[in-house]
Amino acid sequence: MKARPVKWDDEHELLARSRAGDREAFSILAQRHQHQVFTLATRLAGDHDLAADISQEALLRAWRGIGSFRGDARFSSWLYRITVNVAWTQLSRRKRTQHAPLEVVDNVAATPSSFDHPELAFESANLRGRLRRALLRLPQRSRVVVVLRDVYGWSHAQIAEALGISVSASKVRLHRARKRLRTMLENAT
Amino acid sequence: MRLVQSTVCRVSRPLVRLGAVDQKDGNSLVARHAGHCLRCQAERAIEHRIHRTLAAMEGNVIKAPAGLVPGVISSLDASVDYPELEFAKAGERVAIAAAVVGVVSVVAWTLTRRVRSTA
Repeated sequence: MKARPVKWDDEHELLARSRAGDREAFSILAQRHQHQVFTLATRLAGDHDLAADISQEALLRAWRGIGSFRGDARFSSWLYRITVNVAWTQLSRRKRTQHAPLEVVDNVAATPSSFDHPELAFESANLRGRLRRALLRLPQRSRVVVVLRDVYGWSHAQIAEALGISVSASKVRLHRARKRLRTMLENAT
Repeated sequence: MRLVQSTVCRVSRPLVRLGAVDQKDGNSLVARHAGHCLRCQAERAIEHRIHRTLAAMEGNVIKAPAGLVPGVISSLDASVDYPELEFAKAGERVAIAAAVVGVVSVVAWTLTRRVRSTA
């Protein structure tokens, strides 16, 4: 009997095969989500090398835990949660304060601006750059909360669960971080 | 009058900022003040822009290093299957616990016998 061909564009099938131990299927899934995982890791860690370590560990953990993934949430959300957990653990372990050169993190294709006016577009790009730099200067604990809440739109409950802190602690950290971010932006102008 | 205005602005600023980001109406007095105060409206606009810019960052994807996934897959090939490893670890733990229980019960039995024989 001939084996059924894999539909590589079907995520459910890839997941089912990965759960059954098919490494090729998992490899396709990992390739599909690697950039998003790496982007999140870079934003949380502020360092490309560390982000690569975090991404690798997150994908490994995903492979180990894929049997327990029930499919209630989206696979990408589940993978994001794992990435945040790994990043949080590694950041707490390393307690680094130095970060990679900012150009590395800034080297991202700019999204098209909603402004038609060139001056406003420039101002918007300028703000984006300043915000990225300010984010990297935030203490890690604060940065993680700002990134998860303001960039990825996580709820405080989700942040609290992922980081193992209370909802009110998440709120307090976010409030302080935003305040600090704003001060940094004001000082940078 | 200007002094009063600036004090009100200073008090309401955090609430205006919070309202701008979390889309909350907040205090009605603050909302009423912000409706007339250009300074607070500017504050709200800046906060909106910062929040929008942060939210737009999600769409900016940073390319992962080329060797990321091949590295993960090769380390999967090199390692023992994790479920088996977990099972082995669990078995090891049960064996250690059984040994400890055994030693403790032998010691307890010996001590009890000695106490009984001396009594």
